[in-house]
Amino acid sequence: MAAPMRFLTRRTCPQICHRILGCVNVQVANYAKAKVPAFKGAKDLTSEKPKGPSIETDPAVLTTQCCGANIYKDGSDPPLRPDEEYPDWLWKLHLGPAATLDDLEPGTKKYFKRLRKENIWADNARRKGKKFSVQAPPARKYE
Amino acid sequence: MSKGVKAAKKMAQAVGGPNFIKGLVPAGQALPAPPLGPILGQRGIPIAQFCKDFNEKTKHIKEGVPVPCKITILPNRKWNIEFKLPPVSYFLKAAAGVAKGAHSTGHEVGGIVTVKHVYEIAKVKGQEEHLKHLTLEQMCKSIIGQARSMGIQVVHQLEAEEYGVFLKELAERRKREAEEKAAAAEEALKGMRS
Repeated sequence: MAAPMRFLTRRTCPQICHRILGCVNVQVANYAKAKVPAFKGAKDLTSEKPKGPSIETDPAVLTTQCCGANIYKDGSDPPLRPDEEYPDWLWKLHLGPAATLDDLEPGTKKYFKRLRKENIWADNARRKGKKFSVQAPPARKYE
Repeated sequence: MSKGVKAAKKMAQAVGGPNFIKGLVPAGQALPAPPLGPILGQRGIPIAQFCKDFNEKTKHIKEGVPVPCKITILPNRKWNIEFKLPPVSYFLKAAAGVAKGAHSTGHEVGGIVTVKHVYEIAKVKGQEEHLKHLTLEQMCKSIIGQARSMGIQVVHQLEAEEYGVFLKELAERRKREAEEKAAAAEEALKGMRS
């Protein structure tokens, strides 16, 4: 069985050809990849798919009921009752941004949880973009 | 969860792996080939029958509400579906009257709800099997945390008027962002063509 003949063509040995022929730009017909953002086509997709339950837009309704709380076809969304009917702890819940390390008392459980979280974030940021390497992880700081 | 999109979120399961699929399927709207079809088909489940079964079981739920489900695949091309309540993010967006959360969380506010809304959501969602052991207070804290991560602000009081103003401004901002994005895409297109 004769070994298949391998002809030196531009396709089989592009590296050699490149050096011999220099930079030759040849029109090659390939299937074009959709690299361009097809934003015009993308808008049409939403009209094909069925919509979910309609979103309430009337602020008067949104502020008097808990819209969406009732997921069933029967019944309606629960109304928001006057302040007195809700438990006291509801008004004392923390609503703002999460406490940072400066706000917390060092040594408490919350402090350590936050410290751990921030270390993880720092570690993730440091590792981002790096390839996998067999390095020891950086030592954690315990202040 | 974009309600207009039919796509179910699926965890990639090797066909030889554990025989269940977890996903988020819009109630009463199970059918599309792309998300559900191939995944079920690969495991030998007749897709049309499954969709009929799923839609039957979710017909008491409003159409399009995202329902997390766990589909256990039994021998003999049978299956078992376990349902859960919709995710908290769905409840929060519905209560706030927005389709999506904030585009850049922490930098913008994507919606506002009051603590009362959070309480009502906690009452509903707290009935879930895996959340029953939590107190309402714990449930509320969890929901507030989720709202924070979605860019939905939680306040004590909210008047209809001010919320109306906020929603209008939000709509305008979204429109501007969409226009800017379209313009940027146009530019990119021109750049590629030239």
